[in-house]
Amino acid sequence: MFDFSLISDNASVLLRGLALTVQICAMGICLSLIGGGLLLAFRSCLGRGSAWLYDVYVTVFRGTPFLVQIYLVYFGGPYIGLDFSAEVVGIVGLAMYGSAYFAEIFRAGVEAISRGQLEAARDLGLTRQQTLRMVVIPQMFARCIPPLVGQTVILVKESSVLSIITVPELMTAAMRIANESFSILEPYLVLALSYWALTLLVSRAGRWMERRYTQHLSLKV
Amino acid sequence: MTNHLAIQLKNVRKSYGDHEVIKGISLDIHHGQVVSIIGGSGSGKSTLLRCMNFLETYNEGEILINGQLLGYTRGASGARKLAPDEQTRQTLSGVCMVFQQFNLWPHMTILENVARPLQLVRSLTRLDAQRRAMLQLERVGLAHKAKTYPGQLSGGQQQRVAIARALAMEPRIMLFDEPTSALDPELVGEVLKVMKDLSEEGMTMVIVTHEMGFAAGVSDQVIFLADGIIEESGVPEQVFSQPQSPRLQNFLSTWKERSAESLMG
Repeated sequence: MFDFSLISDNASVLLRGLALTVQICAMGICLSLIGGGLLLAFRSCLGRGSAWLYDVYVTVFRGTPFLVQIYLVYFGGPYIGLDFSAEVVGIVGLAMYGSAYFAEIFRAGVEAISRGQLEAARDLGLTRQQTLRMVVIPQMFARCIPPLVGQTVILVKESSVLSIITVPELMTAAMRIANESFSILEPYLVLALSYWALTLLVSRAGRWMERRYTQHLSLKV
Repeated sequence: MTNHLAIQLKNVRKSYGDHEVIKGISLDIHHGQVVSIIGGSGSGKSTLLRCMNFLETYNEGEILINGQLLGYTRGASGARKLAPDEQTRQTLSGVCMVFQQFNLWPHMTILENVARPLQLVRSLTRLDAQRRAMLQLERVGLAHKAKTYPGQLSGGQQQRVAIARALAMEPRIMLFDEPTSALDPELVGEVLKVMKDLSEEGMTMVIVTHEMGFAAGVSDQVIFLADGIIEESGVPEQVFSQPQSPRLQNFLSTWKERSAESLMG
């Protein structure tokens, strides 16, 4: 029933797709982390106007489908002079989409830190930057690990959408094999397993970091 | 510099929007004095204390720390404006607060909680900071807990660490904002003991507290606050034994009834 030779014959195609998916996700997620941090910094340091712009950014990128966003940029972009390769649109698109989510996760992490902790820092004479470095950022990251892992898993899965703008990633590779061989089950089963393995890896890494960094934070302080 | 008062309040007022919580308070606190502030909830006592280290801004009047105007600068026209952070930090460099909720940093060990601010604010090396931190932890009897985290300690121990953290900065003035209110009754004593030792060493202390017995025992002066003004003040014997104002009489008798009730179970 299953023809596994189909998979072994096309192993190199699948592996190239997998490698590209990993690359795009890794870059997209790193940029999302940076972007999310910058967004939050932008929101908190420039007053009311920047908070409003932040809200617009977040609601737009969280409130429209990722598919629509990359469609607009990849197919609509050339009409207004934005002509980038599919890979670039994919990475940047993933980063912009992810940034909106990551920024909100960071915001929740910062707001979970009690005001008293910040007041103690100020009372002892720490500057704002010192407080940020010593008190806020380490705790924010620790508290954010579980939601960040969840969102990262979602981003890895969302990256399959990039097949639609012809990025030759994992999904595209599986579709090509299916189209050429007229076999559906084998390539898509392997595809599902591959995403599952990737996201499992992310979750496990997250679990490990959670154990390592949050052991003292769950307590009643 | 000691001919200045430690803290001087001149007709201080503070509002949140239309709601005035501090309605013109003047107060002189000398170096080495222990002043307790008592009063019901909503009397403005915590707000007043928080104005003294500028965690709260004040709208009118002046607060002088060692003779220096706190938090504001006088412009040429006499109008005041917010002082730069650096100047306020400078004015407050000898003032430390101990909070009701301890406010230790949960991601750092006890030792780091005390030592890291020394590294950052006093520019000590890591080793010097830790040495000085250990001395303070010994002073509050918690040197053996140096490597543990705040969440592993009891409330009373956490509060003693918070006191050690403040002491490490070598303040001349310490503010205590209901330091025992969040503690289980059996843990109150250990914190009061540390505070009593401090007062005997000559630390200038301003204490907002519900521990009347303690206030009576350590204070040079007791202030009774009601509705944002000083309703009555004086030496403890006078305030607790011969209260003049009806509100203070009422406050003290309610307090006595309640402590009697809690003793009856």
